[in-house]
Amino acid sequence: MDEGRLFLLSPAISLVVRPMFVSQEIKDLVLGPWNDPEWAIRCGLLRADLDRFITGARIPVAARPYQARSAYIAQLDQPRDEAWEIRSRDPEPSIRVFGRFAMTNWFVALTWSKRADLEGPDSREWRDAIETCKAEWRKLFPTYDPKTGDNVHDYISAKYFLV
Amino acid sequence: MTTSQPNIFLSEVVSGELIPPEKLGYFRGRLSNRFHEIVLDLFDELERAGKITRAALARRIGKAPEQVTRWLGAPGNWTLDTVSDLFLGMGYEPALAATDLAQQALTEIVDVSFDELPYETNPSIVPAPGLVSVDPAQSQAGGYYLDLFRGATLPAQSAAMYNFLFFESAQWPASLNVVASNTYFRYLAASGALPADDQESEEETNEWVPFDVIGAESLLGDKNYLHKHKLQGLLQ
Repeated sequence: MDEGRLFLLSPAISLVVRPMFVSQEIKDLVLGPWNDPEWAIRCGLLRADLDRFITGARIPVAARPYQARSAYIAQLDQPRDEAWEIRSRDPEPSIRVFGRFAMTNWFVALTWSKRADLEGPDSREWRDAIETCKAEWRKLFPTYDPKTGDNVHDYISAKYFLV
Repeated sequence: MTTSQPNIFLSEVVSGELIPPEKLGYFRGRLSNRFHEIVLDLFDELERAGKITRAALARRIGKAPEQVTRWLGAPGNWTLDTVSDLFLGMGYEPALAATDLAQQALTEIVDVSFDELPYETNPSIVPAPGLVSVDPAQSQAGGYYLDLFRGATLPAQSAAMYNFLFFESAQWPASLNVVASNTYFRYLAASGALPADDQESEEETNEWVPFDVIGAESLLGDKNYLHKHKLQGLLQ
């Protein structure tokens, strides 16, 4: 954080319950500035979605990777990658924010993509997105591994809803 | 005692200026998410109590169970009709009220007495404190920012009760600084979250060192202290 490469994202309203750290890339996406007003609106909606996590609201979690497409957050396949996505679906374009848990309830948001650019679950684009997320983590935390777990509770301690 | 600080995010909203598009977007998303959260909380409560299932809810409102599962997963294609149907299917309707954002823009910081803290009734909300980082320049002025949430969640309402102060730093835009009062540390001590030698006593009062984070002094006065020993422990 002192190097300005990681930021603790403050909720626009309310208080932090689950801290979310964001990369410069995510900070720029969420906080702008933006040239296009429509994109600014979309990024405002994204911030509202990220605030759901930060403020401790109940969040729908996919019970298994790539399952429950309507879930708010899901672990990506393979689980050993410890890569997660937060989904901000509406309105189009649907946005995916990729990151990893530093510890229970602590999410580090590293990269993002428009869903339309990612193709299907087995696509090269998805694999690249996961690998980029892992690479960004290693740049920031070369000696610190992400949180690992066997079930959702290992990552999010309370107020989640399995779908 | 209650003190307040302005919420910068709401400045244009409450000042009558043109509201920037990103804030229009934020509140659109927030409203949708809040409806979704209320439905989820209610469904979770009723499901835990054995009063409803997804299949039963679907049946009651004439939808397929998969549709209800999708709705519970995300509010994406919800309409007001969807909201009404889901609440009604659970035997409820939402209570609606308008909130004056000019009032909301002042974040209340409530100073409660030690005896009012509900640590005996809900010890599970005790977070373990730890240090996120120390900025050397700020440490000259006693500026430290703390991780107060490691390993636990803390309901927002409780956070307010424990007299946390949250604000965005001008030096580190978009970062969040957290200040906790001595009320909080006394709470931690009483609940056993701190080692015994970190607990406050009459003799040790002068062992507490004041700390503050950029811009917080005028809001916090002399209420905020961090035990010197604890600070040393955190810095090691």
